[in-house]
Amino acid sequence: MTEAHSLILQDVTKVFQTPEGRTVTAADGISLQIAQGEFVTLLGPSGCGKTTTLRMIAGFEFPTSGRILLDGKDIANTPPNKREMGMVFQSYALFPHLTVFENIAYGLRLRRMSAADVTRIVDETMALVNLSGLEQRRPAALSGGQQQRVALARALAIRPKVLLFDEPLSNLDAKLRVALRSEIRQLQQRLGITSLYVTHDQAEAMSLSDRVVVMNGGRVEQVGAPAEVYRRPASRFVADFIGQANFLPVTATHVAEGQARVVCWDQSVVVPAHPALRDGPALLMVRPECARLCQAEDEQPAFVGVVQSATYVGSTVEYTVLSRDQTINIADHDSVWTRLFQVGDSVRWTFDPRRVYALSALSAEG
Amino acid sequence: MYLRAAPLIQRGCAPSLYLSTLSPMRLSRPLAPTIGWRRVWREYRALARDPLYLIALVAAALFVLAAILYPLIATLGQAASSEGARVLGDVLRRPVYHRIILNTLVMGLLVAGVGTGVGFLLAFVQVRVAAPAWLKRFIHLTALVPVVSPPFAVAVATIVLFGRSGLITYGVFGARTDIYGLPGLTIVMTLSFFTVAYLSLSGLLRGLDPAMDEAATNLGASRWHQFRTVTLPMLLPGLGSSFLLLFVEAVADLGNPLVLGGNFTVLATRLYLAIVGEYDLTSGSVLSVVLLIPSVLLYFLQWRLATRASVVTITGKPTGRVLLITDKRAVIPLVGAATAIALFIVLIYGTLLVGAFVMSLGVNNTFTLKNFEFVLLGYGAEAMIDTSFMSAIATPLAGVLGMVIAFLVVRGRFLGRSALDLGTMLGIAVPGTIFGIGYLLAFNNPTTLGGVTLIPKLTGGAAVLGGALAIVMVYVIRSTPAGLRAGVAALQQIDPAIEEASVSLGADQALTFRKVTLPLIRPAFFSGLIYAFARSMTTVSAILFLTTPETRIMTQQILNETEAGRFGNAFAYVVVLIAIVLVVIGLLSLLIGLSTGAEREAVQTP
Ligand SMILES: Nc1ncnc2c1ncn2[C@@H]1O[C@H](COP(=O)(O)OP(=O)(O)OP(=O)(O)O)[C@@H](O)[C@H]1O
Ligand SMILES: [Mg+2]
Repeated sequence: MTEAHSLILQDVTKVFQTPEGRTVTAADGISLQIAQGEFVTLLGPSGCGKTTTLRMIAGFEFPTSGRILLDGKDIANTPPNKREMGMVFQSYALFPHLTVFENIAYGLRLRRMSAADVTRIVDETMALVNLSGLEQRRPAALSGGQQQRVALARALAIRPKVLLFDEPLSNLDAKLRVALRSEIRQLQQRLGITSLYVTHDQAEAMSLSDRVVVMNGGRVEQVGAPAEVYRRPASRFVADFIGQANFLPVTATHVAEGQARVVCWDQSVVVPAHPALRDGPALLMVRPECARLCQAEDEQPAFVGVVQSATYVGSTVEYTVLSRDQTINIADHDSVWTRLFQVGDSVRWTFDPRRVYALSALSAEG
Repeated sequence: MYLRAAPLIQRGCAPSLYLSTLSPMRLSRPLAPTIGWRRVWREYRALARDPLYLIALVAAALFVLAAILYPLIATLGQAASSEGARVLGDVLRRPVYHRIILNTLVMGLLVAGVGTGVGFLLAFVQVRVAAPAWLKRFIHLTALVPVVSPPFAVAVATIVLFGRSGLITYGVFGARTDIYGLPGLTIVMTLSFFTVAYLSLSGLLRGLDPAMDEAATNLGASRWHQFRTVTLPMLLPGLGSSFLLLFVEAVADLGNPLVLGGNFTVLATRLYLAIVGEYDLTSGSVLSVVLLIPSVLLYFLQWRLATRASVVTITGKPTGRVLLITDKRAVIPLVGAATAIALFIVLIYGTLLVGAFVMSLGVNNTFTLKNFEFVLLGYGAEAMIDTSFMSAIATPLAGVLGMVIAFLVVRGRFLGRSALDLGTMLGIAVPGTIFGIGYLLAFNNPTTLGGVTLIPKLTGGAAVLGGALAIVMVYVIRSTPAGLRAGVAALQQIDPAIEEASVSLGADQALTFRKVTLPLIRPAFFSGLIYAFARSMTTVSAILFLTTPETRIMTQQILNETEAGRFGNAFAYVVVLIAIVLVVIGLLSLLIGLSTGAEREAVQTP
C-alpha cells in the first residue's frame, strides 16, 4: 500500500470558446475535497462537465479560474506529464503499435527503472488485473474487457498519486460492466489510491464510491455518500437523477432540526426535511419503493387514486396511480404475494413518513 | 511553464478553443470573442514554451516562405513591372497567343477527360467487376508503372512505335503517320497521368458502403440503374476532382509537349522558349502568371472536391460485401478495355526496355550494351550519380517536413495553421516550370538584407554548389505536399487520447511524438519517402532552367538525347532511372518496413 494523496478543487471554472465564437461554461465554480485514499465519483448527465473537470485535474485543460491542489500544493504549473496521475480513458487509448507488456511498461520505462524492475512491476500489475498470459498480444487482438484491463494496468503500474477514470466501462456490455466495476472497487481499496471516477451511470456511481458528486450544467448539485444522496437529495434534480422519485406539492410548517410538518393534500405529517427548507411551499420526495397501496382501510396518511397501469415485475409490482391529476409511481412489495390491483381499480395509497424527504420548492428549477 | 503548451494536444478542433484556456475570466461576464493580434500573440507565446514545437514551426514557416512563396512573389513582381504590362498586352491582343491559350485549354480538357475516364474504367474493373485475380493484379501493377518513370518516357516510345517511321504504323501497316500534335499528346499524356485518377477513384469506390447498393437492389433497381443513380452520383465529387487534377497536370507538363508537340504550341512550351531561346525572363514571368492563376485556382477547387468526395463516401464502417458484376455483357467489354489499356502500357514500356538494348530500334536491331555503357560508365554516369544523390538528399527532408507540417496542421492550435497547409500545397499546385522561373528570378543574385547575405546565389553560373542547392530545394517543395496529405490523413485517424495517455504516463510532447505518434504514422511517412524519391528522380519541368554545367540531371539528359534523335541512349536512361527508383523503394521498405502492423488497429480503436 502506497502513501495516499489528497486532492482539492477550489472554485474551478472552465469556459470554452466554440469555433463560432460563442462561449460554453463547461465547469462552473466546482469545489471539491477528496481525502487520501478516497474513491469519489462525478455523476451527471451528458455534457454536464465531468470530462472537462477530470481533464483539468490531469492537466490537459487549463482552468479559466480556480485552483487545483494536490496534497495542499497548487499544481497549476505542473505539466500533465509530471502530475503522476494515472488516467483511464473511455476509448482505452492503448498504444496500438505496442504489445500489452510494452503498453504497461511504457510509463515505467520513462522512470528510468532497471529492466528487472520493469518486468517485475508489469508482471505484478498484470496479475492484479487478471491479465497474465497476454503479455505479447497487440491491443487489437484483445476483447473490450481485456483492453480496459490493460488500460487500468497501464495507469496503475506507475503507482499514480491519483487515479482518474473517464467512463471506463461505458463501451462494455452490461454484465462485464458489473464484473469489472467490483474489481475496480476491490483493487482501489486494496491499493488505497485516491481515485476520481466519471460516469453517467448512477448504479455504477453508487456501487463504487465513498462519495458521489452529482453535477448538473457545470455545477456541483450535491456531494455525499451514496446513501445520503439517495435518501436526502439536495435538489429535485438529484432526486430525479439518482433513482426514481415522485414529487408532491406540500406546504411546510414548523421546520426545525431536519424535520418539518408538511401539509400534503389535506393531511399533515412530520417528515425529514432539507436543512435549507423554510416555511411555505415545498416538495415532498416519495421514492416509488417507499410508497405502497393500502390493503387495509385505516392507514394514515392515505390518498385516493385510480390505477392506471400495473406491471408485475417479480420482486415488486409497479403501479402508476392517478391521484389528484398527478401520476404517482409506486413499487409495491405486498401485492407480489397478496392482492393484485387491476387497471381502473380505485385504491388508497400511502407512504412511510420516515422514508420521504421534504425539499425546498425552489430547488425544483435545479 | 510547460502547462500552457500542454493543451496543444488536447481534443478539439478550433484554434480558438485552446486560447480560452489561457485567460482567466469570470463567467458571469460574457466573454468578448478575443479575435485579433492579442489572441495571436498569446497563442504564439504559448507555443514558445515548448522549444521543440517552436523550432518545428519556425522551420516549416521558413521553408514555405523562402522556398515556395518568395520565388512565386518574385515571378509576380517581374510580371507586374511596366515591361511585363507591355508583354501582357501582347498576350491579350495577339492572335498567336490566343491560339496558344486555346491549345493549352483544349489539350488540358482532353487529357483530363480521357484520363479520368481511363482511371475510372480501371478502378471500376478493379473494385466492382468479377475478373480473375491475376488479371486484376496485372492491370493494377501496369497502372502504377507511369508513377516511377519520367513523364515523357511514354512520348519517346510512342514516337518509335507510331511516328513517321513507327515500328507499328510504318513497319506493320506501312503508313506514314504524324503523331506530333494534339492527338499524340492526348494519348501520351493520358497514359502518363491517369494513375492518380485510378488510385483515388479506386479508393473512393472501395469506401462506398455496399449497403447502399444493397438498399437500391432491395428497392428493385437493376445493376445498371443502381450504377447510374447511386454509384455515379456518389463519385461525382471524386470524378470532378480527378478531372481538375489531370487538367492542372496536363497544362503544367513541359516534357511531353517538348518532345511530341511539334507545331502545336502550348503555354508551357512557349514559356520554355521564352527563357531558353530568348532569355526573356519578363515574358516568361507574364506567361507564368497566365498559367499560374487558373492552375492554382483549379488545384484548390479539386482539393475541396476531393475532401468532399471522401466525406461523402467514407461514412462509418462499411457493412456487407460488394456484389461483383458477373453479367457477361458488362464484364467482357469492361475487362477487355482495361486489359487492352494495360497491354498498351506493357507495349510502351517493353519498347523502352528493348530499345535500350539495341543499336537503333526498328532501324538496326542488333543487340548492344553501348547505350548502357554511355549511361552507366560514360557521359551519363555523372548525371545518374548527381540526380540520385540530390534525390537522396531531398527525400528525407521532404519526408520529415511532410510529417512535421502534418503534425502542426492537425494537432496545432495557432493562427496560420491553414496558411501553413495551403502554402505547402502550393509546392505542387503551381506548375513546375513556374518554380523554375521563380527560382531564377529570386535566387540568381544573393538575397541580402542590410548588407547581410541571407540566401547566397543559388542558380545560374557560379551558384552555390553548382546550383545543386536550388535543385534540391525544388525537389523538396515538389514532394512535401504528398507526404503532408498522407500525414494529415494518418494523424486524423489517431485518437488524441492515445497521445494524452502517453503524456499522463510521464512522457513530454517530444517523446510522445517519437514513441507514439511517429510509429503510428510510419506507413504515411514511408509512402511520403517513396513518393519524394520517385518524384525527385522524374521531375522535369521545374528543374530544366536550374541545371548548370556542373549539375546534370537525368531527365534533362533524356530530353537532350531524345531531341538529338539518340533514342537508344534515352531508353537506357529511362530504364536505369526506373531501376534506381525501384531499387530505392525496395531498400526503403527493407529499412523502414511497409507497415507496423498497428496502423489498421489504430483505426479500429474505438
Ligand atoms: N474543447 C471544447 N470546446 C468547446 N466546448 C467544449 C469542449 N470540450 C467540452 N466542451 C463543452 O463543454 C461541455 C461539457 O463537456 P464535457 O465533455 O465535460 O461533458 P461530460 O459531462 O463529460 O459529458 P459526457 O457524459 O457526454 O461525456 C459540453 O457542453 C461540451 O460541448
Ligand atoms: Mg465525458
